[in-house]
Amino acid sequence: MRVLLVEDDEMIGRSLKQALEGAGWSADWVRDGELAQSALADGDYTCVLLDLGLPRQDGTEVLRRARERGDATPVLVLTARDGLDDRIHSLDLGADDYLRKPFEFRELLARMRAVVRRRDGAAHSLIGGSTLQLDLTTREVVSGGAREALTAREFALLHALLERPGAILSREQLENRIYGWGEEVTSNAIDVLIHGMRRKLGAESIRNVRGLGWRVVA
Amino acid sequence: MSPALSGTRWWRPRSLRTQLLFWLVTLHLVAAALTAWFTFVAYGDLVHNALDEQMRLVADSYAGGDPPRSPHPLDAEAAVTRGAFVVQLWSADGRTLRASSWPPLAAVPLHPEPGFSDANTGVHPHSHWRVFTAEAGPRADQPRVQVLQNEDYRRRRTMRRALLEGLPIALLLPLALLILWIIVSAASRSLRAVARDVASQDERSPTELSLARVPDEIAPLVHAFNHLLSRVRNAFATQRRFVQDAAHELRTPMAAIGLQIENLRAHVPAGEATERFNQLEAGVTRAQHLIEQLLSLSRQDAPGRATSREPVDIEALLRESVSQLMVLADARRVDIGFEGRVAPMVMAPPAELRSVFDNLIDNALRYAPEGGVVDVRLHAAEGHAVVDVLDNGPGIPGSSMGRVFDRFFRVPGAPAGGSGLGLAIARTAAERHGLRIELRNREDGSGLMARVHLPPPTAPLTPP
Repeated sequence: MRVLLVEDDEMIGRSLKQALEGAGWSADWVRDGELAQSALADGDYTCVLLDLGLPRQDGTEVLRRARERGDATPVLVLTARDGLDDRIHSLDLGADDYLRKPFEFRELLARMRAVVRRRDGAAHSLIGGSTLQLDLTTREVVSGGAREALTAREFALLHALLERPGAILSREQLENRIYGWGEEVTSNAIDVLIHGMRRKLGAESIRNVRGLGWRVVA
Repeated sequence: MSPALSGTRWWRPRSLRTQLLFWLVTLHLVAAALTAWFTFVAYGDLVHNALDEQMRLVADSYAGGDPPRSPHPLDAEAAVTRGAFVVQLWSADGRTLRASSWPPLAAVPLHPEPGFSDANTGVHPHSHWRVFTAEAGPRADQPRVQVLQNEDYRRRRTMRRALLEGLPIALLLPLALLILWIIVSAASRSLRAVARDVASQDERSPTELSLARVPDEIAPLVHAFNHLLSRVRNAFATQRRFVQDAAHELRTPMAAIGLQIENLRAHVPAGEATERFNQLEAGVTRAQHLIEQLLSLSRQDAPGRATSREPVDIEALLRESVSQLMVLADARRVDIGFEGRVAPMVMAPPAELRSVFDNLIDNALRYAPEGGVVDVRLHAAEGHAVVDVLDNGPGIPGSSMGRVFDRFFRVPGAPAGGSGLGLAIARTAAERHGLRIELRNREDGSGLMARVHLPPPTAPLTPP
């Protein structure tokens, strides 16, 4: 898995390259827009981490030209600016995601996985965080290296909760996702389902937030 | 306007309108009084002289007669009230009154010198008389003629005439004052319009005042004001750029430090080194939090940001806010709960409302003890919607209650790694959009309750 790191800041560039290599990526680091342009044209990268404020050619320009060439490599924009305009502009130009500095390295890795997965479609059909994942093709849950088969409703429940790891879903939202139109839903159906899942995956796997609903810790 | 209270001298009140009106009305009244006085005196003289002339003609008509005519008899009413001429015919030596048209006036003797004089027959008001004594005729036996007219009648007549002449001035005076008042009021109205324009300015994005309806005298002031506004706008733009640059310059090294810490993690040996490493990481996290708070504070201060108001569902907003802060709740093992009994809408920019509730909930999560409880409740109190954020932390000592909204103020001995800016940011954002934050220590146990009073949904929000 090769990642192209485009970053002009020496400190961030070096640490990020180091961290990425530590996480199993092989990282090529370029420091300006023009070099990024030629690296993108030559190399075959799984993912690009792109800073916006670059010497010689701005990050947005690099992105625009790459997309014009028909280059579909997933691009994750990293910037220290907090302008909403920058964010919308880069997403409009074809960035796959946007992360503001400073960021948690684990979050960066999760987002990188997500953009790569989105590009690859069904080939990489694992969704979820680091502790709990769901295999969309085999309909199995992956927890601590072990795989376990799920019933249709258990699968629907975990699918809903793992789509955006950490998001809180209310009882109503879960019911809508799990049960079809016109299907009779008993008042404690969700509780029973979650109780069963906790028995399989551990008590801490699905957490309740009083008054709001349930979530899976990413 | 009380001169003592306004600290100005009575002849120069602070209000231009009062000053103008005061002096214009005074001048008008003085001018009218002087005109009336001169008219009165001039017409008085005119009438006086005309009456004197008549007396002379009457006297001449008697003196020239040969044989002398005897005067028409008069009654008191004619002589005193109607001012008829009383004719006296005296003997040539002036000693004996031969004939008189009104005998009671015999008390006035023949004046030795010919010409006009005044006579007084007593003290009552009709006793003043104007007297004309004709010259003695060429023959020694010719009678002397003296004509008298009641002075009181003459005065009344003069007065009536003069008053009639002064009437137009008296009638014009109130009309002139009314016109003055209208003109001065119109001028001060245009000043008030300028003041209203200035007052309705948004301090974060001031716009130029229109010169269309400004009087020439005020135009330089408005020009100067517009010039000042454009300089203020430039200063604002500079400040905005500075905040953006500062954000970039501060976040970049923080991001690098965060990554280096991440890289170091795998190489830290267990034991004391790990503990020190964790302290270092906590310190960096705290510095990052402080920088983000500082940046959001300066973004709040930075003017001219386009903030579009839209109806915001507070319940949905609180759900999002709690979801996002679950990371902190998990880290501190705080049990956070939500309870929504009402579903109010508020017109405001969603991001600014988020900063109100994010900061309050963040605060509660930091001050609640490890493994504590935080409750977010949306309900109606005292007839309007409120959001309560409750923790079971130490609360705020009474001595610090007045200062907790100050920037960088942290309750002495507070354990939490806060920046001291959260409440200041929350309050600024709240006040800008008609919300009010009230803090009080819980009565049902230890802890703090932060209550946010939401604006009533129908009332128009006051502009920031």
